[in-house]
Amino acid sequence: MGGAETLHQDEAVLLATALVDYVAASGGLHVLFIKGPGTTMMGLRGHHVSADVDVLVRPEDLDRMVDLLGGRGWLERPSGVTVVRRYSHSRTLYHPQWNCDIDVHDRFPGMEASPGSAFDALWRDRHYLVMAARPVPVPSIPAAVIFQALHSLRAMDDPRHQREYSGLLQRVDVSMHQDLVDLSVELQATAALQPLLADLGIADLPALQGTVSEEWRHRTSAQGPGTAYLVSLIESPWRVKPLVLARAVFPSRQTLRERDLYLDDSISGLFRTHVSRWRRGLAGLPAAARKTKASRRR
Amino acid sequence: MTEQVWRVSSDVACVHSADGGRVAVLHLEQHVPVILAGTAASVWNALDGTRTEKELIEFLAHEYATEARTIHGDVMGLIHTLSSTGTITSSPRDEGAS
Repeated sequence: MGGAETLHQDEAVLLATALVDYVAASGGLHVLFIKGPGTTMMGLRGHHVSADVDVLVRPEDLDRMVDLLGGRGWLERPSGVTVVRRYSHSRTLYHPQWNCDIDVHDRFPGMEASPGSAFDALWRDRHYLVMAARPVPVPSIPAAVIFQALHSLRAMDDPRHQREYSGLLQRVDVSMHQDLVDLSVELQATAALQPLLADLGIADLPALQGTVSEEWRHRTSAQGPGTAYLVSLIESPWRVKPLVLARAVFPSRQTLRERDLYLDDSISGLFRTHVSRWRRGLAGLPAAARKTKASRRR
Repeated sequence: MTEQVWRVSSDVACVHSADGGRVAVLHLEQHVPVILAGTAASVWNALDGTRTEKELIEFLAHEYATEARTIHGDVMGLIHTLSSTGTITSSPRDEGAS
C-alpha cells in the first residue's frame, strides 16, 4: 500500500495553509489567509492552482512567524533587486520537500493605512473557510474583493490578471458596493482601487478622493527585474548609477541563486546564465522603458 | 472490555481527491505530508472512528470483494505506520464520537 507518490501543488497549498495556521496558533499569532484558494472558494475568481500560500500577519509578528516556520524547515528566499527590496511587503519561504512557497505579508500594497490598523480591520471582519479539513481564518468577502483587485491592478499587462479582474467585476454584486466603499476608505485603499470603483460605478463619492502613493506607482511599473533595475537606475544619484548598472549587467552569484535555486555554479554555467539574462533583458527593455515612462507621468 | 476504534487525530490536515482515490495527509507536528493512494486511501477513508480493526478489515474486504485474511497484513501495516506518527489514534468506541 502507499508508494512514492508526489505531492500535487493544489494539495501542497491547502496543506501548507493548514500548517501555517497551526504553527501561528501554537505561537499565539493571528493570521489571515489572503488571495489563493480562499478567493476561489468565495466565488471571486475561477479555479486556479496557486503556487504559494499568502498569509497576512501583524507587522510586529512578521519575524516571529518566519522564525516559527523556520523551526519547521521552511527557509527564507531572499528578495532580489534593490528597488523591490525597498518596498518589501512580504517574506517568501520555501521548503526543500514541498512544492509551494509561503509568502508571509506584513502589509498589502495599495492599502495606505498603517499595517497594524489595516490588519485589525481585516481581522475584525474575518470569517473561516475549511481548507485541508481544517477551519482557517480568511478576510471578509469585501476584503477579499479588495485584495484580489489590488493584486490584479498591480500588473494589468498580464493577461491572467486582466482575466481575473474582468471576472471579479462580474462577481461583485451591487449589494456589496457600500461595504466595499467603507472598507476601502478604512484601509485607505481608495486611490489604488480607483479603477475598480470606477468600473463598478461607485467612484464619485467625495470620500474616495486621493492620490496613489509612490510605492503604488512603483508596484504598477516595476513588475520584473528589468523594470526594477531601470527604475533604480533612473532614481539613483549620478554617482551611484554605475554601480546599479554594473549590478544589472553582472548581478552577484547570490542574486542569481535567488532566482534559481539550482544555479549551475561552474564558470560555464554562470556564463550561460548571464547570457540568458542579457538576452531576456534586452528583449524586455523597450517594454520596461515604456512602462517606466508611463508610470512616471502619473 | 471496551472495544477500541481508530480515528484520525485532531492535529491532522488532509486533502482528498475528487474521486476519493488519493489523500494527502499531514500531521501538523510533522514536517512533510504523506500521500495515500488506491487501497491506502480506502483504508484512510474507512477510519471514521466507529469501526474496530476487525470491522475495518471486514468492511474493506467487502469493498474489494476479497477475504479479510488476504488484506489483513496490509491494513494492519498501514494502521501501525499511521499510529506510530500519531496521525491516527485509538480510543474506546463510544468516546469522542461526533
